[in-house]
Amino acid sequence: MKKAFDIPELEIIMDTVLDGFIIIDDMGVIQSFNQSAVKAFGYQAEEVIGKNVSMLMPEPYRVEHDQYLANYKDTGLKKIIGIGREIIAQRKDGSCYPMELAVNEMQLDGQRYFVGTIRDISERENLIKELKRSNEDLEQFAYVASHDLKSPLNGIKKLVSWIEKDHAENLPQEAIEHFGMIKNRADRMTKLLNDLLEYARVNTKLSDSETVDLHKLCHHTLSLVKNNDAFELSVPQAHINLSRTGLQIVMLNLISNVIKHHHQSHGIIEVDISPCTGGYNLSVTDDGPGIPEQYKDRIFEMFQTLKSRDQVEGSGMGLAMVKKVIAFYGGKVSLDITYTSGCRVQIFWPSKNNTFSMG
Amino acid sequence: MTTHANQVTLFVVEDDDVDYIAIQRSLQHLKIANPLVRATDGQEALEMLQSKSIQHPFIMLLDLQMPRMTGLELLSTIRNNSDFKDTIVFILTTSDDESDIVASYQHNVAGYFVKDEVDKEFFDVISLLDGYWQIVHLPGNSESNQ
Repeated sequence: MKKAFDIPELEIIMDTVLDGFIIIDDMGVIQSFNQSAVKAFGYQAEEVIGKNVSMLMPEPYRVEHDQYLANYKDTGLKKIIGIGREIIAQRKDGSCYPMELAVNEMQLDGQRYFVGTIRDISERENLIKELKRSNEDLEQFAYVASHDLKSPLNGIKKLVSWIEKDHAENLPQEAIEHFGMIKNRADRMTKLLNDLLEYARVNTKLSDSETVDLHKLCHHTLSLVKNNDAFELSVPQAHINLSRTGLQIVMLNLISNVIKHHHQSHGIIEVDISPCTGGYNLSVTDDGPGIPEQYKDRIFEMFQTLKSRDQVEGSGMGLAMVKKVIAFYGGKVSLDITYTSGCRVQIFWPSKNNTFSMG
Repeated sequence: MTTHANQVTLFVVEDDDVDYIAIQRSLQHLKIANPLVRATDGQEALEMLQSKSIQHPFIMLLDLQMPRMTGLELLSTIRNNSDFKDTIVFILTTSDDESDIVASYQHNVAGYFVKDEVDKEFFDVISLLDGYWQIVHLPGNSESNQ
């Protein structure tokens, strides 16, 4: 067998590398196999050198790999070269595990070789799986909890209304007032539970990106908010590429917050957007009372309100929901603390295809 | 043709006493005197069906979250049973979860009501059921209608 890389120094260096290192020729035949690869696969170098690299992967990757090589030779079409991806590897004992593979091409003495760098990512994959499961548990918990809490609450509301209906004339004024407060608290708790439920399952409602008419979406959203009559909304006539449902949820919460917390019964809301590297910068600005800087983080947490719920009814879930939706798409939301004539919320919203057209 | 609407039994499967009282109050308020029978969970409802203690024809008003046997479990049991599979079932539940709604209709329910959306005393649901059995032909009373 011809040894293409009979350079002892090179072999020593390659064996000290922590990543697995495999070099194949353009027929897929293994030329070199370092110590980390030995550890990763359980084969000694001499067991694999001279054999086809597809022995290191389970079906259907085996067949696909031969196909990739053939395709690449014929068409130059790169499925993996220079890109890297996650694949499944098979050890000598037959067990399989996820691994990250990066492949590069090199030329030596007019001969083409491929250099594969591999890294065992089973631990990372396990952690991701574990995290996913624990997130699902949490969502399930919030869902079940808010459902089961709703029933007794509805019962309380019914009983109070029956006492009022059946015995109103026998009740002292104070008792009627207190019953009114019980109902108000029960309604508030219903709202809290509904918002918690909505928060827990929002991810399941979020859609992929599509072309969205921002102007139309924002004005439609404003029309859904209570007491919107005296609020002026200015939005650029832009078509953008974002998740429609995600944008609707974010805008609904931001716009309704402006109206609910405004110190006047009228006001101005300005939405602005511009494309930037990797997505869009979006901002919503109002002429309301503003939010003091010290609360800039707390406002995005669950169940946080800056006023007593007896003054302004609210679950305190609105901005937490905004944050969760934007985090789902890998974006960022924050309060612009440099803006002092009201409140400005700024958002970076990633979009692979951040098209932007006016009109 | 006689419809015998006032002979249709309303079979309520509901674990919550307050909700059951709400149904009773709605019937009283709307002056509906049809027989009313209650089971407190799916298991009890199934046993009542099996012992044929429910007078036909009847309409079932079914809650979903219940102890021992849930509404969906009861539904799939009766839909797989040749004696009960023609039972007319309306769902009355606090759940507005899409998966519950889809699963219920897949088991051929005649309607799905969410408790939050209906009036505090279920007037809407009960008057709809009253209208329903006034004009609908039900299995089990077909002979008496001929």
